Amino acid sequence: MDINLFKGRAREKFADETEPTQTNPITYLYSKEWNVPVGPPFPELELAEMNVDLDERGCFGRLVRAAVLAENHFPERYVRIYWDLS
Amino acid sequence: MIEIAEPKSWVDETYLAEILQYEDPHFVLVHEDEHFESGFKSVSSNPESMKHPAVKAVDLWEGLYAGHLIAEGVIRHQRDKDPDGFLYFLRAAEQVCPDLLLIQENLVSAYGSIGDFDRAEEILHSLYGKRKDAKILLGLYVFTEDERYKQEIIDEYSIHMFNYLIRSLP
Repeated sequence: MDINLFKGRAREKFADETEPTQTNPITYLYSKEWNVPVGPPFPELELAEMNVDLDERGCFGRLVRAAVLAENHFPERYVRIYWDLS
Repeated sequence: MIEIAEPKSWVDETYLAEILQYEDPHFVLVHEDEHFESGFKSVSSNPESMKHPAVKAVDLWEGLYAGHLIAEGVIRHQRDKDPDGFLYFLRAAEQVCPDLLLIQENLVSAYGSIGDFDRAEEILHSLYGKRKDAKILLGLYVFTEDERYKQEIIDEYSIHMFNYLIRSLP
């Protein structure tokens, strides 16, 4: 799968037509419901499979959803991905 | 989690696994000076005020696509027992987004799987000290047999973490 196909799949999966009332993308994203599982961490393989499926139980799936929502609703804002080094 | 750990926490393998999970490098979405991470919402009533102290910027879709490629590689490695496939996807991720720590950390496993231990050790040395990471310390201990790395795990975490990491080795 190339980057454009990946992007298309993500946009299709997380399309959301609801217009936000917030004017700030971060405030808007925190206003949404996020399925953060409670309990022991997923085994590495299960997590990788969830990531490929853009499953929101994994942090990667949630992040892709956040990226799609931010980009769709705030196209004029410059949202980036940062790589946590801490 | 390390600071608030009670003596009984160190013998709870779920707790140890959680520490290691939090130490794994991960992505954060950033707009101007604000960070979004869905997990912040679970731990704070004011998640907008939370941010990671040190981050490195990468392009939005390149970063996400690299994450996808890493996951494809891990599946080749863990499910299909295909180290060449693992390496292929990691190199593809490296082409898209060079220098991501998660790629480098997985490259250690990939080179170890194909028997290129010199390369694996070289990457471990390059990762040492970049961030707090018990798995990097264990890797250095295993490859170099230098007791200082073992001691660092014991000092920074506990002997239980060291034993847990040793038991988790493939």
